[in-house]
Amino acid sequence: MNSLSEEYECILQAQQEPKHFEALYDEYFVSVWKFIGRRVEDKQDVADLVSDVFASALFHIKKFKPMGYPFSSWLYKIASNEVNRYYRASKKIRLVSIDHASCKSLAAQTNMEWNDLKQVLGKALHYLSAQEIELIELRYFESKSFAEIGFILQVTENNAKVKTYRAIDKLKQKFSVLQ
Amino acid sequence: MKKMKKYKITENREELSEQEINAHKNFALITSKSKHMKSNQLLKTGIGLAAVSIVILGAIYFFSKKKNGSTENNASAYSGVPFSKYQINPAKDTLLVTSIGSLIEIPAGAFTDEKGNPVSGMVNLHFREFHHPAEIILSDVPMVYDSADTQYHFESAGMFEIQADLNSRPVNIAEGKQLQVRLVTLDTNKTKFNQYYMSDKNSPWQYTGRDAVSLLTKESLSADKRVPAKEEKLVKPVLMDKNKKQFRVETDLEAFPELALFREVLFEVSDKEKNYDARNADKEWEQIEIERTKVFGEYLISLHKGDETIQMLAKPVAKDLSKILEDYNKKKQADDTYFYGAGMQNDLSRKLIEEREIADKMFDKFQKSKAYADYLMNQVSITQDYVYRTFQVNRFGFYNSDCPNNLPTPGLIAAGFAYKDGNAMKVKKLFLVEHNRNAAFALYDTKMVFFNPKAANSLVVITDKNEVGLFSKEEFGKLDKSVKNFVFQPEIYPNKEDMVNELIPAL
Repeated sequence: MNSLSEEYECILQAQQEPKHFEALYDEYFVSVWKFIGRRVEDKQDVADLVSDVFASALFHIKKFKPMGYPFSSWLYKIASNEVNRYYRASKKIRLVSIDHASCKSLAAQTNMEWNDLKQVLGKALHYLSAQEIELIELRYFESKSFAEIGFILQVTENNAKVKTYRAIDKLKQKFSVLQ
Repeated sequence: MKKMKKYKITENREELSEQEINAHKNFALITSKSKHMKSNQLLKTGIGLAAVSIVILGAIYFFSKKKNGSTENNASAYSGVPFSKYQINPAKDTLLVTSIGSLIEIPAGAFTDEKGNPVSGMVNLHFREFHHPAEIILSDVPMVYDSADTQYHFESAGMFEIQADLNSRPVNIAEGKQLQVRLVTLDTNKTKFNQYYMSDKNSPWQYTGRDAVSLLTKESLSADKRVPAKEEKLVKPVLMDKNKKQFRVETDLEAFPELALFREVLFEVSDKEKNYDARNADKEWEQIEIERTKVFGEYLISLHKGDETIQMLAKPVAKDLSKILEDYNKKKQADDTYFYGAGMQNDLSRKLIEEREIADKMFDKFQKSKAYADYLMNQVSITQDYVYRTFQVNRFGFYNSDCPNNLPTPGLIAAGFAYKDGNAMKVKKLFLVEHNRNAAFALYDTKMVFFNPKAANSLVVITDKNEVGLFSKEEFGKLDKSVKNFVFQPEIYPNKEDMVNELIPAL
């Protein structure tokens, strides 16, 4: 799929005939897997959750209306709900994956040197709520815009921004204690 | 204090390659899961329409049977869990104990009529509880929960339905009042479950909050002073002494139910009052208060006028004993029967006979369902003491302690069904029971059996003839887990009234 119009065409076809959904499945399978794989440790659980996300997306495809976000955002929104439900039901400990290469903007935001941040980030994250973790992941580990974060987490763009900066303030306080 | 680790943090975790990820692609599974969701929703609508009829017919059946003072069965095509009926005096605090030990606490003044006015007269409380997948399946209770447009299946740690009426008219729970149900639980997991409410089978389940698990020992239960059933006594009427002073006091029999046998209460000054001035009985008093003393049948009467207050000990007496002693003796005879703590009303003897009949019928039913009772009691005894899940009830309907799950995976069999003689079986409903958790998954596409190969599974089918069929966990266990197509041949149980009791030990 080379363009948004091509993707939209594909969605319209899938809304008419489910077999056309396979093109969307092929296109986004890897990115949805990675999205869930960063949040869930067990590979079999990841596979189950990914299939649940796409089954739910296929089931609801007729309700999908373009809102100015990529189709993948809609899939991430379903995936986010599935992951939260998975942790509520299983009582397992939530996995948070830090990829050092994608944390540079967090270092800049917290006025920290990356080498210093590396030492304390893992400890400081334990002080955040589940929603704050999601905000940090989406914004700083996955580089999503606030508008897209708001769409995925079903809050307004402004609310996503305010909550993210509150989480950053909380992290800064913890960094100063932990350093 | 050291902060507890809330998350498992990994740094620079190695991700699977795109090739490894793509190896997990299975679009056929996606379409079959989605198709299942679709048939699930269609059938749910169908069930919804059917449930309207069931509820209406059920209501007619419910109220017409009640006139005979019997227990009721729900009106599904096959027999589910019957209601137990209790008669409650709404003016009193009441604690009911169900046959397996669940507790229902009802505060005084808990019921109102349709206009919101407090009710008087005996309220019929109907209660049934569900602990086993067979009870849920055969009672036709929908166990699907919608969250964010996604459907989940409930794994239950206990569920109950509670309803009430007064003279066949519905009653409501008064604003600001709530009943408390402490449901015996067979799953003692403290953190896994949430609580959900459903007003009727045609409505969706609603999340109401986290679950509350508590332990109550048998000793603490028997020490509970709010148990009124065995405490209930009536003051034996005695004839007044014509040589002593009596005075009439308007007595609220709801506040003093022990005086219910007195048709007109006269108080006679106690012999303990040596210095009583007899002229007090002839005075006009502005306010009279009655209080119980430690001695049963003795009361402290306070008379007020302006600044003047006098107090005296007195006992209730009657002008004519013949009729009320007859009532009293009947009551004494019936005292050893199963009695739910209901207060005495004017039609005392009739109510006692009714209650005795109900108790007999319940006992009879209990005997018949011995397998069921044994199963439940064995389960409960494992926990040593009673472990309860506590529900605050402020409206009537279904209450459930549940954990939502997706359909089991990754096992999937394209299923056919046949009788043991090889004839094709038409399956109307299909349920997968997972034995390591208390879950009955409704498989709305009866041609596909989703299952977890690592779990012990059974299949329960309802045929087009309303027969109940069981493909046991032993038979399921023998299946080759990689099989893709299979014709299941369930054991058939003919439809009968106490099907629940047959199915529980078999399942």
